[in-house]
Amino acid sequence: MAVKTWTSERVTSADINTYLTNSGLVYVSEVSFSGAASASINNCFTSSFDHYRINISLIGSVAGNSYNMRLRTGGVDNTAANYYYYGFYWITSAVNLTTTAATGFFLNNRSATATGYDLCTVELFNPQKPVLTTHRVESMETNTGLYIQTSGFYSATTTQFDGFTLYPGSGTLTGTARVYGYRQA
Amino acid sequence: MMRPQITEHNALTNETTVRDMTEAEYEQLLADGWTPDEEPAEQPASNPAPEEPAEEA
Repeated sequence: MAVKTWTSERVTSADINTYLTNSGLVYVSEVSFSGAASASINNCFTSSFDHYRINISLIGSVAGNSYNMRLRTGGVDNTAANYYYYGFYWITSAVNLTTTAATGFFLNNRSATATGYDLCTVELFNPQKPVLTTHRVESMETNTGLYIQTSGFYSATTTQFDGFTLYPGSGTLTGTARVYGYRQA
Repeated sequence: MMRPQITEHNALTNETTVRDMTEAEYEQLLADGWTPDEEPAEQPASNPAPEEPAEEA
């Protein structure tokens, strides 16, 4: 559905404001963290949107060290073994990624140098609805021969989640996570 | 020993807090196989860590 149907050749400030208010992706929230053993955003998934995009940017770590994600409700992580994910990652060849009944989602390995970046986009579907929450993840890290991962995830529970947590396999995380909601009408 | 810190942001109030983990949070982190140093954590058998790319001649 169009945000607005043009009826004249003039673009008014009201027209521009209409577009700004109704853009396709709507900024919801973000968190920046440095040296954190975990980083969370609470209350970012609401009834305002069904689906969300989370952009994660991390800097620095050692090779092979993972970072992961959990969903949470009321400031408490869901640590039950009901996370399932499938896909593959590629570095020098493709490797299947198949994990069932895990206690979190594997998002990627972290960069091998202090100045390398890890970038990840999570498309999150229906976290606030009483249905299975599903994800699609595209991630990469910029140092170890350009590690790339594409995968699909789901949580085998109908719990309604309002936030998420990022946590490393070891050490700490430094970076930013931003949440956007998909405009629905 | 100091517990590791957690950064937590509330999207409703736009407030960010940095605090020490609670005992329960720290126990969960350890249960995940987390170690405080930057040594790579052991990967699940079905999800092995990638190998370093071979150096080109």
